[in-house]
Amino acid sequence: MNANTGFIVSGEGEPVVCLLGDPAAALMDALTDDFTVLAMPPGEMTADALMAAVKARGLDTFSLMVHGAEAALALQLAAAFPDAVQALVLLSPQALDPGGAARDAALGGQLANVRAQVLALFGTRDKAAPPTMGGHYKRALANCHLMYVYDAEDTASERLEAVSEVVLDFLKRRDAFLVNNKDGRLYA
Amino acid sequence: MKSALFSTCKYHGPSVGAGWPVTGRVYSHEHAMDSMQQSLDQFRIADEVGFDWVTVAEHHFAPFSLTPNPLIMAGALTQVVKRAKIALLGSDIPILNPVRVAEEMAMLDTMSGGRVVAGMLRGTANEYVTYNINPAESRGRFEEALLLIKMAWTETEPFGWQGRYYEYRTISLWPRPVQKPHPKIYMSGSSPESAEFAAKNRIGLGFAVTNVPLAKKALTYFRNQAREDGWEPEPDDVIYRLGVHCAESDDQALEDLNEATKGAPKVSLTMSNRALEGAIASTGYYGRDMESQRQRLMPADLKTRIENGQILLGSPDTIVKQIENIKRELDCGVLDFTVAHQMGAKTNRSIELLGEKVVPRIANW
Repeated sequence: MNANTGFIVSGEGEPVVCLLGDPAAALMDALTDDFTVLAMPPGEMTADALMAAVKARGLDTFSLMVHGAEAALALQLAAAFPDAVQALVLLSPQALDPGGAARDAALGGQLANVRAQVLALFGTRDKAAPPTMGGHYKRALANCHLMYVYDAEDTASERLEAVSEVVLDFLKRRDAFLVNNKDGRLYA
Repeated sequence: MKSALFSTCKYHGPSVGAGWPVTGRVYSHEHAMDSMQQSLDQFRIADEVGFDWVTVAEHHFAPFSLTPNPLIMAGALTQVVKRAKIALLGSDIPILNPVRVAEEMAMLDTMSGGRVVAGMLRGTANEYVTYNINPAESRGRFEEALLLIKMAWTETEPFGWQGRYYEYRTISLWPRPVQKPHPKIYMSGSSPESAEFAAKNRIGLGFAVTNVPLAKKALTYFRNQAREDGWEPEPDDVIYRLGVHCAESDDQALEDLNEATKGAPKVSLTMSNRALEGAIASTGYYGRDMESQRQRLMPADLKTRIENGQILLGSPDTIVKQIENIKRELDCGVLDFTVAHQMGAKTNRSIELLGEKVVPRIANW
């Protein structure tokens, strides 16, 4: 823990701020070969306070990964600091209500200001963030990639290999992650 | 009770031997063209005489059926069959690209004005060799593919899929199904694992290559599972497929069938290569009820097959009586009549007799 900023820092590479609890520890670990992970437990932090904490680390730009209700904070931050937030990963997000409106009225007016590329992941068995919510995020956010994780109830803590693969690819390549770059040859 | 007409599009050219896969060294394209045309004619007649559905199915590498992609045949049927639903029973989804299946079925639903019935099957054991898919993965692939296809039909926003067997970065179907939320889905239901998945996901069940006692046992399990999952299957949630030949009299029907099947292989597609079947069985393909699943694939004599409700044979009156028993035992809402494809005019007459004298009598059962 860094006493000045409250982050637990690990790995090397471009910074990814993660507001994630212990259940997502393995997912954060999976990023550390390619990214500097700045982890902080989810809490009552405001967008301004989080931005200040990141700036205190000397970072001008970063990506952000959050889970559940923290999606509201992440979207506020991305709307307020569009030049700073490069990419957003929303794991089973719960920022919108079943009708597609922002749960926090203040956030509703800001969603149009989110310019960062977003990867929103939903587990097909998720009850807290059901896959039927996915389309709402796609419509509300200008640059949102919707991803269903088959047979997962929670994308932060289940099907680690599948989730980390797509999160890493998205964080590395952003929009270009749509294009397959794996070697498809069976034999030399 | 609804009536479906299933023409297997069997190749009826020169004898090519048994086994699987079957050599193509004596293949006759003239006979193949004629076989396909006969199937199209049979489907057209079925539509004209009042069948509720026409049915196509997927099989590979053998003269048993010339529709390795039944959806291509169904595409032709959208232009030939004007009234009946077109039942795709079905695509073997674990060996296919599920997004492609979703697209093709959506195309067919659009081309037919919303008349598609969407069967999604695991296929016979041998089909796993066709496209080099590990049969041990059959059920896992099936369940994931089915849910992916449903998602592709119902999610209107572009989405990606991070599965176990399938991975897509973005999917957005055009065209989309006419029927909302999507065409009625059926899956094969002979095994307990299938019944459990169907019950959990509220999917209809189809029974083929089985018999009434085995289907009844499987259906009882399915209905109990469905109750545990909070729903009660309707008769229309159950399809029972069986062979049929109808003639003016019982004697004529028997004579026709004996003549047509003289010298024909008596074993099912799966069991026609026992070494292959054994290797597939050893992968766990059949699941926890393996012996029962293999048993239903074993050959039986004609008398036994009639008694067990695998074949309807005789005059229209006789066939109606046979169906009475099946309906009483299974309470199925759809009978999928597999016609003896290879009898030419006699097959066509069988379809006409069924349409005129059987289909109307069972329609309100």
